[in-house]
Amino acid sequence: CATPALSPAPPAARRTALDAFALEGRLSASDGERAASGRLEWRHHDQRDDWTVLSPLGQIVARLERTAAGALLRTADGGRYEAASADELLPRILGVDAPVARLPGWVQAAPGPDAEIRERDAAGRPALVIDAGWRIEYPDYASDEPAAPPRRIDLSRGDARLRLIIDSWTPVP
Amino acid sequence: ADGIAQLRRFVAEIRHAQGEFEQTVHSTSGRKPQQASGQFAFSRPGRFRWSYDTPYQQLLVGDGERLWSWDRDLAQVTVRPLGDALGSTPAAVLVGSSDFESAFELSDGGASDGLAWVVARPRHADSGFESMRLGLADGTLRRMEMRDSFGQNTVIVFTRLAAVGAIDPQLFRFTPPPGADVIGQ
Repeated sequence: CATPALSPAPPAARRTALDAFALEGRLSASDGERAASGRLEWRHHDQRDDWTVLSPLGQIVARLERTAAGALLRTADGGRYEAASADELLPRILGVDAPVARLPGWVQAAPGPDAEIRERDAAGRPALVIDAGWRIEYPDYASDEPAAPPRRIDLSRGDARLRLIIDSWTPVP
Repeated sequence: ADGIAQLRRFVAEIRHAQGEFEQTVHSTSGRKPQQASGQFAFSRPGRFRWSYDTPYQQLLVGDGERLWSWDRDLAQVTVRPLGDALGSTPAAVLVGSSDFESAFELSDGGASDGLAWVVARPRHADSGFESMRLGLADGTLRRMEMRDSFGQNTVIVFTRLAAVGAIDPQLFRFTPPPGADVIGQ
């Protein structure tokens, strides 16, 4: 039988990662033991990151701040945890051990140079990316624009899974 | 003001109720307040249904043992033991069993906005919120304000709260929809 003509791979959409943004969404994550779910607010620029996870009631469950000096995690029950890098504390707030430095690129579907883009969608945007041992799927984008931000992201590696719905996206000047 | 007396009567007498709520969250970061609304139902002790229609569909169900939370867009269900989760939802007040005051220390919050207020401080340190103010009138809960240790202030107005004789227990059972991931214990 004739092998189906492979449709030409869609042209790679040009995507540039913003280096400063504010993102609001909802996340659900588990690493097989811990489970985290709630609303996520994340303000990012190269000097500083602020992650806040809130309950459906709008009460803050935890807040993680990263600056050049280090990282500080505060939890609703008054807990305070300091570390040299946010990588050591992020799993407590996101529920999974995702690499902090790569997250800005992942949430914008603009992964770094050493990431492997396995599949693209009809608009040429990443649909499946493999990076640093993580599998990152983009089942849904905010619109059909090639430069549109993702609407839903599924991250997984071994038992660790995180699903993020992005509700609002604000580039920070 | 007789807020505490009204609250005790509310907890003792209103065994089953349903209605609607509007939620406004005021954050310290000066962002515009975030609105949400939905419906609720509860049966003491320990069973409640708290569903958000706006800004997105989320459902919290306490079946007496566990707290199920489901988000339609995330297509995922998180389940946790009700005990430790109860403290972090207004449900603790709505469906706390008779020993409601073993969980909260009550003090009179005076009268304002036509309501008699009660200040309820959780007795367990790690309850996830610092204090709560409950506004009552005619023996019914009308408003609830929760402040967390970060200064976020959540205001819930019960736009309707109707006591009923009984509620179909099915309303407090949650079966994950087909295709939804279930996460947690």
